[in-house]
Amino acid sequence: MRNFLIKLGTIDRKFIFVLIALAVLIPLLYPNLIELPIKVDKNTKIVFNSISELKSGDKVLLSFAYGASTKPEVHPMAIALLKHLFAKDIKVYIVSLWPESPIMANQAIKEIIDTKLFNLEEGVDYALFDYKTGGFIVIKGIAENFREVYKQDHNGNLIEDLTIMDDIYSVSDFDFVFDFSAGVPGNAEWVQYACDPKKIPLSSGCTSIMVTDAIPYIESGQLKGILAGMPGAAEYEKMVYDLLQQQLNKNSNLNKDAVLTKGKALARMSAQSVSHLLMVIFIVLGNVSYYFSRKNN
Amino acid sequence: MFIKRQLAIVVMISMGFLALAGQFINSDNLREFTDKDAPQWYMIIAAFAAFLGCINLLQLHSTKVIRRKKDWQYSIFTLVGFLLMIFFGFLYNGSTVGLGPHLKNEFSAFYWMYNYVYLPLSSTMFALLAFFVASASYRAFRIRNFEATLLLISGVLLMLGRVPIGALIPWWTVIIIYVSILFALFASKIKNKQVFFYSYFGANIFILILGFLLGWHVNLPSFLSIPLIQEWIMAVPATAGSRAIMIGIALGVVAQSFRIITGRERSILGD
Repeated sequence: MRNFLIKLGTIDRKFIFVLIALAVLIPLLYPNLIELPIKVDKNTKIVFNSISELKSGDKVLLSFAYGASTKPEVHPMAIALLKHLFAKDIKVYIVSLWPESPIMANQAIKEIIDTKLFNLEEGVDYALFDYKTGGFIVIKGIAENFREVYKQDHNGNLIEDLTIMDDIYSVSDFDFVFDFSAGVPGNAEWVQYACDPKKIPLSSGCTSIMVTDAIPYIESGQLKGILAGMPGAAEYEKMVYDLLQQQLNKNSNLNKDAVLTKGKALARMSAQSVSHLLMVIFIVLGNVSYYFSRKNN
Repeated sequence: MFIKRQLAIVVMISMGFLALAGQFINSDNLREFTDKDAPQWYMIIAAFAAFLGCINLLQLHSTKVIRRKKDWQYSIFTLVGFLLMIFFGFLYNGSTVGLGPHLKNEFSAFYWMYNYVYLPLSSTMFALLAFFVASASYRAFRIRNFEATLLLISGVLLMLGRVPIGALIPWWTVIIIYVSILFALFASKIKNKQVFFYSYFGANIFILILGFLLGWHVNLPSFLSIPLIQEWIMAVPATAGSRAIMIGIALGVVAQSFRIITGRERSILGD
């Protein structure tokens, strides 16, 4: 028994890879196999409540700063947030700070239109702006003068010709800013260069590894909560899904005939749960093996 | 030589002082420069930097292939991928919209390449992290000393607390974890194994009975809920650590900026 436990410590890593692959693949292929209850985190609740407090006709600036590699983690929260905003008839303005982000923003809007939940008109309900190079300088530009940075929308329509752009001159004209990021520029740059100096409420959705860097801003109130990685996305998806289900027949902004579907992050959570549990089991086994091998030596 | 060194240093120092002066001197012209002109210049230079980066990538990998340097075969893939995306981005459209907007048009060849080649490849590369983290945590997360134990415990609690499965872990399991951690810390002090194991099991049973008497199975105290422990770890120790790092970085930025605007730091000139 002791020898077996010691041998566990020198197990071939290919064996661990196979187990992890199975732990991820099986729940992804059969999402209904393991149904786990989603417990909503404090920070996700803050984000949800902050958005819920916005009024019809309010203006929200969304910053897309993620790409293909982090799409599975960040994109589901973007979809859920857009559903929440459009359900409240809030005007949405999307800027892209990464070269790949315009494609992400387009895909997010297309997914929302394909749900047939809302009757949306581009230039009236939402506006998309293309990628601008410069990172935090673009954020600084938006904070000072939006129209200096963007002269036209992504279709080439002049800002002056867009109804949605009436009264929008700088970040101060927005009621809320939401950042989706997977690196730099991200929520820290929005806090430092735009939202904190201009006192505009800001919230963020980011990858799990970015959360530790953002936590000081949340604790100081400079960020109104955070959607932290895949679990944050799943929690927010669940809250928005429950809300839309309640409002489907009452809310005039929602098409009653549309079919509500659960988001992708919810389905992915069981895969993440099982893989995390497997990692913890590996850690425990590794330590048992370490204990016996040290005793032998 | 003058353009590459002296002039570059003069530009670097004067721009540094001008940008700094804009924050302290109440002059409209200076403010106009730091708030409007300098950011515009930065964006133009950044756009050119992307262009330079492309040329640099081409040069670097072409040289590697021509001179057959180590792992030159991989450079062929880089160059083919790069040239292919340039072809679909600048020359071949495939959709009904004009060049430029075709980058976001789902019927263009560029979009197809992005959506069905680049996106899955990129996501795959990021997903590979899960396998390496699993393998690395199995080998590296060991109870070697007090600091490593703290890291291990907080890591495990965060991993379980952030996923739904963490909320399903019953309160008595958390009590056993606490008692085990406590006894692991004092294990080296107790020489008699029999005493150690008896006191370990005794402590577990005593606290479990106490928990039932206090009604912890009905009203769960926050220190026995893994998701709440995870929230506390993120809100208190993680915030303290992050703030310390942020302050350190800020001081480093001040020191480095001072070296640059006084011309002492010349690494950006290639020194």
